[in-house]
Amino acid sequence: MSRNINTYFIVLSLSILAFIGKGVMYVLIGSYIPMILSLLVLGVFLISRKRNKLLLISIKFWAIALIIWSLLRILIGSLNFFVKPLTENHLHQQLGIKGTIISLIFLGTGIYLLRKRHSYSKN
Amino acid sequence: MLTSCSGGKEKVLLDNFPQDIHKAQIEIVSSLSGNQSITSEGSVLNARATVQERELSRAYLVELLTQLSIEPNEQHYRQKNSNPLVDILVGPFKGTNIYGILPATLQTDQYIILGAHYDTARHCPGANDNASSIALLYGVAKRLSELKTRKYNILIVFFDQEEEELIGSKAFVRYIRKKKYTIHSAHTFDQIGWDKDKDRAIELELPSIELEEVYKVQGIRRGIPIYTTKVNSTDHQSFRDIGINAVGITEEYVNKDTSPFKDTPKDTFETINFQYLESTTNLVYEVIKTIVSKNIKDE
Repeated sequence: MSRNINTYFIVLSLSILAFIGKGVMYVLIGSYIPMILSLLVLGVFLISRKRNKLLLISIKFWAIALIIWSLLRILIGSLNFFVKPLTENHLHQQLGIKGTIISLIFLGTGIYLLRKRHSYSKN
Repeated sequence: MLTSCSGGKEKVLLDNFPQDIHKAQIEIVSSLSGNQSITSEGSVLNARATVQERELSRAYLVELLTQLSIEPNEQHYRQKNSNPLVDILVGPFKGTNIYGILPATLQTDQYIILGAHYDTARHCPGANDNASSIALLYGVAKRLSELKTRKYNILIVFFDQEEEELIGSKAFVRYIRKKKYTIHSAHTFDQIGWDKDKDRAIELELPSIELEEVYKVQGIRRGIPIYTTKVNSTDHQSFRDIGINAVGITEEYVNKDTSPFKDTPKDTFETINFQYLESTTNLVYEVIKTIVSKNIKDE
């Protein structure tokens, strides 16, 4: 496996693991939707790992989901900052500078996964 | 003068804290609403909304309980968002309630909860909402601690994140349920420093018949008008939701003799009516004293 492929695999794995971690945290406080969705994504990748075409589609959908997730956070954060502040302090803080940096990292991750998916699937 | 707190692990000092309750209440509202610095570094709390501001506020509340010789405890919690889709987008609520127990002098496993939230809206000093109630709790707890006989344990609690869907009190209710505390009643206080018409009136929010009676009896004795309302938008509702005998106590919110500065930068120290705070402190003390002393003579 080349270095590029290795990097791609690590980025893909970390992006899924990040959401599984979030899912675990939410399960502990009684919210199951994030975990169900994370496991669903993991399951799809486990099933499609040996099927090239399916893997490509899975990566595409996951990457687009990451991009939408990031853009939504950036959009809400921008509205909060520039248009009308959110009344809830905890949302206000989570979508502040630190939250925006996290969103940008995931946005970059989504774009990277989307653009490089063909070179990864060929290997 | 600093314009905001620098948060972190600054040491809050309560040196020369007044022993007189009235003076102590003025000091508490002044400290919590940014009228004076609360650390040796000169930090000022201009609000109690951000993580750092709330952390510094808690440090102050811990010292306040220590002043009462009550061991302070922190209850950390995480709480999911009201909508699961929001859970996917952002992290959970995170906060910390501060509580302490003034033990009964007789053998009992029952508790009376006296609570007030300490957080504020952003950029709001929160002198009335809700430093006034924290000062009230201090005064009531101080006087209760001097009673020779208390039939119930008194649990003093300062809730986090009331301004965000009562998250702190909901988390505390789950906590006491888990700990299997037996609760006689829960009395929560919110905005108790405004009395423009100087009638000293208070409102009871959704009291049980039993609690309404004991408050009204004390009101009549002291010439204080007491009105009953159906407001359920503050911490007492969290207790009622699980069947605890609860009441909210506030200034005349429904009757419109209430601070016009709620959740604004104008909710400042100067707007607080400390005579009214003192009057309500005395009333609440008499109510709780009645409850903790009830039937003792008969037994």
